[in-house]
Formats: sequence, C-alpha cells, structure tokens
Amino acid sequence: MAEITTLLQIFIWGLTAGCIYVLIAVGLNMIFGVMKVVNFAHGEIMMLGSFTSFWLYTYTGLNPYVILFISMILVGIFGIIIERYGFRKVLGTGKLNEIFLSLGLIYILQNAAVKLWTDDIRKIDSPFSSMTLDMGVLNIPYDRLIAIAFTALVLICLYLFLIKTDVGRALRATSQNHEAAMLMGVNVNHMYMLSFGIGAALAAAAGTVTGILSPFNPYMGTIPGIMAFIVIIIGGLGSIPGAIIAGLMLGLVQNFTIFYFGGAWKEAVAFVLLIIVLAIKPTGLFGGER
Amino acid sequence: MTGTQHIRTYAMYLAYLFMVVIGLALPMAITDDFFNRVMVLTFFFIMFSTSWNLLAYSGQASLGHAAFLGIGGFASTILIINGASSIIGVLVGALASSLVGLFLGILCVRLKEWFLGLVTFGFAIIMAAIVNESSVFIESLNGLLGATGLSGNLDPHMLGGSLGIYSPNIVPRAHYYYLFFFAMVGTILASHVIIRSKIGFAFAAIRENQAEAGMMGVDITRYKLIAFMISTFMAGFAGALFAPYNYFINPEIFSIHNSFMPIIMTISGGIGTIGGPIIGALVINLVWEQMGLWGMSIDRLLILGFILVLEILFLPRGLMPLIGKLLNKVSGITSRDMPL
Repeated sequence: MAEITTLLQIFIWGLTAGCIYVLIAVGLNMIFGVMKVVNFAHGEIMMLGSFTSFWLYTYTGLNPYVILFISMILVGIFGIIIERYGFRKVLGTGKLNEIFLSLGLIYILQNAAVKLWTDDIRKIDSPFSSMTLDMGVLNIPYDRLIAIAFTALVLICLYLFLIKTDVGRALRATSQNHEAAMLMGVNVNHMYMLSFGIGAALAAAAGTVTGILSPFNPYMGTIPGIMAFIVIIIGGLGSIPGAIIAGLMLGLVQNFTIFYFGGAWKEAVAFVLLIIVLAIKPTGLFGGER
Repeated sequence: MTGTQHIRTYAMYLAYLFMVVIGLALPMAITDDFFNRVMVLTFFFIMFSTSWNLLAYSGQASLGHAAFLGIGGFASTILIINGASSIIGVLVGALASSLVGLFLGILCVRLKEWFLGLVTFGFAIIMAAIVNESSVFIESLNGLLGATGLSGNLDPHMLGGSLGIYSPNIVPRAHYYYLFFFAMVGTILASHVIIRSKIGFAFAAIRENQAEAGMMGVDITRYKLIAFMISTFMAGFAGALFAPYNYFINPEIFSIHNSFMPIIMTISGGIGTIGGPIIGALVINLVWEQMGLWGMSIDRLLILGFILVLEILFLPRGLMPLIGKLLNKVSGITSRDMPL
C-alpha cells in the first residue's frame, strides 16, 4: 500500500491531466453537438495553441497566463476559418468526406508547424515554475493548481454563456435541432462558426496549459487528441457533463495506472476503458439513445 | 447488359491485361535497383490500399489500418527470424492480423462512421504505444538485433520458384519484384471476385442502407465481420511480406502516416472501385518517391495533406471517373451507366 501523500500526489497529477482532456474534449463535443462533425484534427489545433503561445511568449515575454487568452482568441479565429472554408464545404456530402478532410488537416497542420517552428522540443516557462504550495508533506506546483482552477473557470464561463445568453441559447437550439433553430430565426451558419471557434479556443487553452506543464513538439497533439475522442465516446457524444466527468476520470485512471503498472499501459488502459464502455453502453455513460 | 457495355467491359479487361503484361516485362527492361524498390513499394501500397478499399466498400472506413500491417509484419518477421519458412511466416502473419481484425470487428460491429473511425484510429495508436513502450516484448522475441528493430529475410521464391519466370539473367532484386507483383495481382483478383460475388452485394447493400439491407435479409453482423476479416487478412499479408523484405521493422509501422496512406491513395484513385486503389497507389507513390528524390521530406507530407484536402473539396470521386470517361471514349459509349 502506497503512502497517502504519494496517492494524493498522483491524484493531483491525474486531475491536471484530466483537466487538459476536459478542455479538448468539451470543445470537440461542442463542435459535434452543433455541427455533427468530429474534428479529427483537434489535437493538432491544440498543438497550434501551444506553439502560438510559445511564439508570443518568445517575442513579447509576457506572462504565459496572459498570453493564454491571446492565444485562445487567435486560434479561435483560425478555427472559424477552417470551418468556413473547409468543413462547411463538405457538410452534408457524407460523413466520410468530413473524416477525410480532417485527416488532411492533420497532415497540413502538423507539417506546417514543423516547417514554421522545427521539430525541436519546446517549453513555455512560467514565472511560477519553481513555486510550490507547501502542504506539509506534499508540495503542489502552482502551475498545476492554476491549470485546475483555470479549467474550472472556463467551464463555469462556458456554462453561463450557454445557459444565460441569447447566443448560448441559439447555440443549444442548433445543437438540438438545427432545422427548427433555423425556422426560429437562428443563423445556423454563424452558430457553426461560433462552435468551431469556441472549440478551437478551448483546444488552444489546453495546448498552452500543456506547454507550461511539460515540453512539447509539433507531434504532441496526436495522443491527447485520441484521448479526447475516447473521452467523448465514454462520456457520450454531444454530452458536455459527460465529457467533463469522463475526462477527469480518464486522467486519474491513467495516472494511477502509470503508478501501479508502468507507463507502457497509459494509452492501453484508455482503450480498455473504451472497450468496456462500448460493450456495455455504446452511447456512452451520459449519451442518449442514438 | 447492352452490346456497347460489353465493349466497354472488354476495354476494361484489356486495360488490365495490358497493365499485367507491362508489369511482367518492366524488370527485364529496367534493371535499376532503385526503380525495382520503388515498384515493390508501389505493389505493396496497391495491396494495402485494396485491403482498405474492401473494408470501405462495406461501409466501414478504418482510420487505423496500419495496426494490421504492423501485426502482420511483426508476426511474420518474428517467425522468420526464429527459423520458420517464409511462406509459413507470411501466412501466419496474415492470419494473426485477421484474428485481431475479427476481434476489432466484433467490437466495432455496432459502430458507424465517426465511432468506427475513432476506435480504429485509436487502436493503431495504442498498438504503437504498446509495442513502443514494451521494448521488452521485442527484445525477448529476438536476440539478434538491438532494441531499434527486428529484421528477417524473405525468401523471394516462396510463392513460385517453379513459375519459370525466375531465371539467372534477371538481377536478384527482380525476384522480389515478381513476388510482390504476383501477390498484388492475387490480392486484386481476390478483391474483384469478392466485390462481384454475393458477399460483395451484401457489403454494398450494408454500405448504402444498413436498415434496408437488414430488412432484405442480409445478416449485417456476419457480413461486417467477413469484411473485417478479409480486409485485415489482406493488410496483414501485405505487411507480412513487406517487413521481412524491407529487412527491418519497428513500431513506426503503426504510424498514423501508414494508416492514412491507403486512404489518400484510395481516395485519389476512386473509393469503392476496384481500379481506384490501383491507380491511386501508383500515382501517389510515384509522386511521393519523386518528391523524395527532389530532397523533400516535410514538404512532401505537407503536399500530401493539401492533395487530400483539395481532392475532398474538388474531386471527391477521384481519378477513376476520369479514366472511365477515357474508356467510354475508346469504346464509343456516351452513357455513364457502367460502374467500374
């Protein structure tokens, strides 16, 4: 039996990993909810977020947590462009075309990033990187606490936006039935762009947080991207609460697995979880009938 | 079938026959080693794309086909290193791949489109991660090489030393050329026979409308699993041949790039047609190798991405319809009623 402090530390580390999954998966899920499109290149958009922040950080030297918001806006705009000139064109021509389009985007984004920033390993230095919250037996780095608090903040803002504002209501309406929403005067095309923008911005946030916590290179997005897919399947496609719970769960399970069985099983355990969920409830834990 | 359609069909068969003759004659005309290797690679990709295309024909698009390539490759290499004959190694490799394919198929049988894509995509990544991080697994299976990769040696005469084509006047590398050439022709013929058979009709029915196919009495689960098993057998077969030929295999074989190549090739040629993967793999692989000769490494990946995106946006049915039009012109048909 491991010591309680070790377990607590794994818990915190798992929670931060889970927060990153939640940020990517919620964005992915939102795009799916509104557009019924799964963007396979979402991990690559996250990578783009890391590099945008890294690039801004290198040139301006601002606090990475300020840059985080600028990066979210820039990548959000990029997401809107991808939606407008990519996915919009193939919407409704068959699911396979949408899948293949996002595969093409993976190639383009990954290799464009290598061209622009080379494939050296990079890291965003946080001013808090050497500071830890001393809890007697356990030291928790501030960066991890900020990551958790930031995710919570983003989720609360997103919730308020979706519930309280007219635009949020229009977004939810489009997600439920886009023809009915159209009849009620919602500009569905704007909603598509908005959802893609928010999804890309959340991915950029996840990318920046990852870049602060650990080193990265242009290939860093693939595995978190896959994990986010697994999270939304486990949580139920289209369900945001499902994505949050499943994301945190996956982060925790993975970190405890690393501790007990070794790093080789980190990805495998996610797949095992996926198999179990698909076998028992293919619509996901929080998914409706489909 | 009308008379003109017959002509069209004959024109198509003639075109295929022409390609076979050219394929057989090429190594006698060009003895360059590099050319030989590029052609072997092309044949390998045609097999791999054909395998992917067959699964897509049943409405199931795999985004992680490299998983089966890798399973076939690892299984056959490990067997051949440990003294099994090449033919046993290759067959067992293909069978192993097919078994894993059956397992994944059972898992995916209720899934469609995105779900299926997610699971297959994730499956290849996870296979790579498992093999990558358990180098113990690789090292324990062979004491021959370091942790970087396995290597085995493929017997080029495993399929038909007695076919009479192998003669001392042909450079040794060409023996591999013929091995892959016949393996490719076999794969294409198998794909052709399956697509034109009752099984193929069931695949198409499921792809077009699963609910209707079910009502008409098509056993959906059974045919989906059959599609998975045949396709993964072919992919495993291609990998099981290629890895020992290449004299090297490492977890890179599970890479996303290897999963996407057959997709890009099949789409370039024309998805759901027999000729599509052939034309697509030929064109894309030759372009790819040429870009390599020009010293492009990252750029060619970038270009590949643009090719895929532009094709999806502007040429979603690939090159095949264009070739179909050409064939129509040759055989004097103006209608488009004959599918390739």
